[in-house]
Amino acid sequence: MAIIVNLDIMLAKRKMSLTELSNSVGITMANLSILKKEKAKAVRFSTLDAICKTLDCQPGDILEYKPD
Amino acid sequence: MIMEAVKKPLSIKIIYWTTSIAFWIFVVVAILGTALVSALMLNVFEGDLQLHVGLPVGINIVETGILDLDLSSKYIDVQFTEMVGKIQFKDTPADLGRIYGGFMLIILGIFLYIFIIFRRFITNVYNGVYFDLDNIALLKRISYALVLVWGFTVFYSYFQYFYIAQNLQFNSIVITNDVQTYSEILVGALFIWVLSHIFMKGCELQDEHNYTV
Repeated sequence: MAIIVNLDIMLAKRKMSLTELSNSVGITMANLSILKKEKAKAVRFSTLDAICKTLDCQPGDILEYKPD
Repeated sequence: MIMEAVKKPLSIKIIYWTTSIAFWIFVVVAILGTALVSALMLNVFEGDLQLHVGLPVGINIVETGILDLDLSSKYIDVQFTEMVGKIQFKDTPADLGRIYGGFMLIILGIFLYIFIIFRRFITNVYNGVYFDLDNIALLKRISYALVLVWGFTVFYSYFQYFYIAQNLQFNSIVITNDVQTYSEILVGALFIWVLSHIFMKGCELQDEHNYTV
């Protein structure tokens, strides 16, 4: 897929674990894991909003487009 | 994904239990049918067999009578014109019994297969598994099996027509060439095949839903 998810990079920058993110944004670990492993087929605006709020970043910091 | 325990709708419960009961009744019928066919094959009845079979061809018959309806005080004159019926082979020859026994065994086998597949599908639905690849495959198998049933019944009808009906000689009735083709079975198969494609689309949507975060 051409969309790259940089969630692990952002988590490392903020020194936060996936469990901590899960607890603060209220998204299950299973769903965050799907997102992190780039298995997700769609991302809700509400999910993106919650992640950006917690990690204090822009959607572009988490999602990146790289042509195949 | 963790499957949430949802309350099963009453309709699903009714369909599941009705299917289960009908399935086990059919299994008993299939066992009895197989025993009967075995008896026919082994000529257990030894010329004492009185076989009744449905004749899937129209019969022209002219029989007049009256109809007594409560709606009016008058009698209505009526006349039978065409009908379908059963035929009894008195002291059925063993070879004829074997032929019909073979037909019976084939149709029992196909219906048992359809019942097993349908029960698996209903059990999946009962367990909350709706849009699943297994269900799509099961629906497709049912539709193909129904096409097989249709093909077999058409063959059986024409066998009855050419082998039996055309050689019948009666004084007051005429056998027509109106052979039943049971096209409703084919329509049923088509409907289930379309349903399998709807389930396929549902499966895609379910997959998308599961991977939406």
